[in-house]
Amino acid sequence: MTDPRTPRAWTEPFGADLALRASAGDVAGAFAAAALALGRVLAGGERRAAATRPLALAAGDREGLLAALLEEVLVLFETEGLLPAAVEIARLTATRLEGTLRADRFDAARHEPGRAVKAVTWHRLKVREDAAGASIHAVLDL
Amino acid sequence: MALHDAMRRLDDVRLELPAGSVAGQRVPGRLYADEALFRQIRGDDTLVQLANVGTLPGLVDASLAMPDAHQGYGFPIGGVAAFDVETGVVSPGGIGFDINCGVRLLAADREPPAPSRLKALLDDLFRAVPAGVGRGGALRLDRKAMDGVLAGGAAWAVRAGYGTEADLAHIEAGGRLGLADPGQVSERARQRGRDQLGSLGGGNHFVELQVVEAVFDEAAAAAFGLAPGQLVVSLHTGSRGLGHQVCGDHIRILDGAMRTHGIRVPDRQLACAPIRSREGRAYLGAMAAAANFAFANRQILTALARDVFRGALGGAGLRLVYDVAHNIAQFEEHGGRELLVHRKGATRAFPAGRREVPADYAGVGQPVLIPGSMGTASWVLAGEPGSLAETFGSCCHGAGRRLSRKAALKESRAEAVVADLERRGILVAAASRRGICEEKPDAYKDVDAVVEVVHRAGLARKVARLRPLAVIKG
Repeated sequence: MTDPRTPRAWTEPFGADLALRASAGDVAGAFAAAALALGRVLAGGERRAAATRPLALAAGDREGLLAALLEEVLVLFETEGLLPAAVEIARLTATRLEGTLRADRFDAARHEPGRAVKAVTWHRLKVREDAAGASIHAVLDL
Repeated sequence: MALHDAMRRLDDVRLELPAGSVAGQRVPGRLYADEALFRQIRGDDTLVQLANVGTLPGLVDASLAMPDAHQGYGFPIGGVAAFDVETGVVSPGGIGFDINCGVRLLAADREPPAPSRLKALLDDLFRAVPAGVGRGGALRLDRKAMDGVLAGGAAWAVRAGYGTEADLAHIEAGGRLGLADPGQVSERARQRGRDQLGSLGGGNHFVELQVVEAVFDEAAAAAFGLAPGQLVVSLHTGSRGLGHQVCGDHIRILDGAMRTHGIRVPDRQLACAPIRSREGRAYLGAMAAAANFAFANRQILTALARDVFRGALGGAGLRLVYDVAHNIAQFEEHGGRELLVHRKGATRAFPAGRREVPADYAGVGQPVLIPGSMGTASWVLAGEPGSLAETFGSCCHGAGRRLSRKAALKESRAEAVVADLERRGILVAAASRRGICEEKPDAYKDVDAVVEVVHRAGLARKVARLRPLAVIKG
């Protein structure tokens, strides 16, 4: 049986849209797994850490921070063609997230285009943490 | 009791969900559907979302869902909600991320070309119209030009040489919402939109070449300039990343402001603020600016299509029949009151006599453009008085999804979908193989059944049925 603390992420249908789920030993791990999984929704293929972008996000609560982190991934892809290769979260509080996103640049020779994701919605946006670890749920608007 | 068991059938095309079906629901929900469509609609969360909208402050009469309704996030897709301007709220979730996603119909002054020339025309259009994920648009905007687009909409595009003044009269709201406040559009939204003007995008956006297959209302068809056998072009796209970012930015702001205004909602995607509040006015200014970006986008794509037609079909012209928004909120007068009408996956359907209807359509009502799924018919309807009596001048916006994208992918291969369409004489050009499968015809409800419901309900009447010839998918 898989250790629930091992970071993992997956997607499942949500009507015409897509639900993104992730779990890990702590909230930071679940956030990082979710960000990487969103990158895989945007494009397939291997990742090389070719660029680095700082993460400095603020929100009213942890759900808001999750939405902000996932939006950061969407915007970096849309405006710079960057796909997350690694997400390092150095500091995470209830309202702030700081860290580094290492990214690959989209290359049609190495990456298969994925889905057109318009946005991260606030519908059923959840961050949960208990003794077994942490999990997140977000719905992506396609 | 499940919500679908609480639904009361009023007649063969109307059902009602009584107030109080979920906690805090102050007004009923009303769904337009026959039994077959209702069986599809009740299978997802549409009814819960219809009821949840009924909890919002200042909602007038009822929360409405059209026959193409399906589960969205917060509001159902195919939803209409009208709010009193003094006591009501504005909710970005009631408009959606793709602000002013809409449809535009262009009529050629000729019949379709022979199949070999049709293929060449499709290829030329596919090269000319940037489509698919990550494709930039025809223009790259500096700050001054972006401000011009956000304030001016389609009128900016016409001034820049994309189309004519005559086009503007055939666009909802004249192609420009005067409420726009470019200063409320964030730097990030501007950055996302900077090189996307004049692009189709991905997902369910398309350009389709069609032929007028049948006319059901000769007077209205004549007013719209449509006749059997005529070649027409439909465009479906919106405000691209700029609109997506505007919605996301302001949901975040309104989510934080609800406590200040003493508002609680059952779903955070319903985040809202009083229409007259600082936060509400800021969102409305940004939303209108994004809507203007979308009007300009469709205007520029029209100009690209016209260039292709001139080159490929020996000078053939493309006249703008109409352009409708189906993700938008607008101030409108209904029953002597000013209301803010949210339409999320729903189309205006104003009848003859409304001042908003273009002068040359004043006697027949505004055109209502209802695209079907890839490979199925589309419809041109005309607004009917029943829409004003019941739905704040609104009706459906398309066929409405039936299968999830994953289910559609699982059931099909792109090659098989394309081969099936080509057997039926429909050519396909697509930016993505995945997109072909996700948008295959049976992933959607039967558009003819959807149209039949709004026709029988008296919201809009049938004018013309359009048969697809060739499609470009984003």
